[in-house]
Amino acid sequence: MKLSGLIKKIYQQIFIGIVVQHSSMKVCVQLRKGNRLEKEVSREFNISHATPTAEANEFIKSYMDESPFTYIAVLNDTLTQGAIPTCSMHQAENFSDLGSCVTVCNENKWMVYAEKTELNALQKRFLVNGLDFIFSPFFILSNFFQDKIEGKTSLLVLIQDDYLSLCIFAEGELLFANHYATKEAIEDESMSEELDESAGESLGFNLEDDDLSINLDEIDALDELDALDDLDNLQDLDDLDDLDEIEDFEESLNEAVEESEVALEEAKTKYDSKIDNFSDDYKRFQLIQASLQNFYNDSKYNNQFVEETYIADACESGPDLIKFLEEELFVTAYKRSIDLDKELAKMAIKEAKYAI
Amino acid sequence: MQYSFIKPRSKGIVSPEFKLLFFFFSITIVMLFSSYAFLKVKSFMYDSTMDDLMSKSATLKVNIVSMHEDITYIKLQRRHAEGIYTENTVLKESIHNLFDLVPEKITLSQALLKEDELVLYGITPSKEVYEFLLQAPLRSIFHRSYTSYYAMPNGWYSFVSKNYLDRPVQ
Repeated sequence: MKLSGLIKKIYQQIFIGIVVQHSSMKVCVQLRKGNRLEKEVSREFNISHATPTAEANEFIKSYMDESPFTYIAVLNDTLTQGAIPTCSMHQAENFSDLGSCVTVCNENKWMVYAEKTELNALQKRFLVNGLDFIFSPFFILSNFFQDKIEGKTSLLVLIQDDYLSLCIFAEGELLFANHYATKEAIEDESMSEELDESAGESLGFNLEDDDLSINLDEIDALDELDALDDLDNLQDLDDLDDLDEIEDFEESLNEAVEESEVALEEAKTKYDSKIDNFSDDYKRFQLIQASLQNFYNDSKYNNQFVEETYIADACESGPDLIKFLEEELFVTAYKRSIDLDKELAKMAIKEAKYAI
Repeated sequence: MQYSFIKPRSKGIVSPEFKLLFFFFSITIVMLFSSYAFLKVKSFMYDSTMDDLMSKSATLKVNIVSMHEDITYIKLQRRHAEGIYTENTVLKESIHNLFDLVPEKITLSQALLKEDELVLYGITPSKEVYEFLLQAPLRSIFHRSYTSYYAMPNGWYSFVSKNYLDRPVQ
């Protein structure tokens, strides 16, 4: 038995997977001894500017102190990253300028890349506890849909709260890949009416349609406003000098108004989340559509037609995206939930075999 | 590196604090052992020097005994040489005296000088001349004195005189 194997059996190994969004951070901690999973802890932290808070750092540090063999893996959230269907730096020039990028080749078939300065900035954000691995979302995708990439031309999409990564595989070969920050895309597109219109036209869908506008009839809480009907009964007051009745009336009126305000607030919140979810899905669809257009229009990819789409959903998105894809792009779409933090921990376990 | 953009940090079983502690303990132990080794070597060298000095001392003692013996022997030889020198001087004096004793009229042909004995061969014009001029002093020197005369054709006498000194009994 090798010394490293012996050490692994004696010592507990801790794998920490971290997925960072702009305002949240998911951490999955797996405590392992040999090949046995002893404990798994997942936790989500609210952060700002994609930088871990002191609480998050303290949480990670508490596990780092338990074993000297602690590996911290983070998903690369940098903007300048992607994947290209070759491992040759010479051929890679046709796809992207990799002069200032770090590349990782996979099975000598395709490689992922990321901007060196952005990777350094990412490491700087985690300077308190340090990082051992930075994984590309494309490796996560290809591993998650390992059984799907060997067949016909398929589009793989990884959806996060703030990011979207997509790649196209055909018979195990990567053809095309792109990575987007949907947060920025959402902001950009809300500023651009032109894009809205074109998207609306392409979908045959209008935000002002009745289906999507606020239907006040659907808001049950508004029924409470019926209390206001009591105002009509003012005429029935025979004697306005009857102060007791007036006071009662005022109280009931105030209560009715307060209740109706609360109901309106609740209805607004409910509607906002619904419209947000819809909006996110729609923006994602737009990005996928734009990417596919690029893919189809680029002669480098031999006009291959994407037949299936597999979505790895890390943010519990709504059903609209699949509907858009199937109706507008005529592809069969499947969605599978993914715990990115756990996937990162899994990948860290694989990678750590080469580490000791 | 298979999937990651960066290499993992090296993992060690011991913490940096423990490494520092271990480093200082190691230095302390090394210093202790080196001090022990230094003292051990010094002690060994001291023992070795002491053994050398002991063996030298023993050799010198043996040499001293030998030299004492030599000195004794040399003293003996010196005494012996002094004795011989004295005897020779005495002998020389005796011979000188002897030849002073011999008168002109008597001619000595041979003289044998031994330790306690003097034998003289020679010729004398007459017995009386010999007896008065030579035998009288010889008698005064030697305890016993015997003389034999042989007549020569020319009327002289050749004589043999044997004179003895008697050693006192010790």
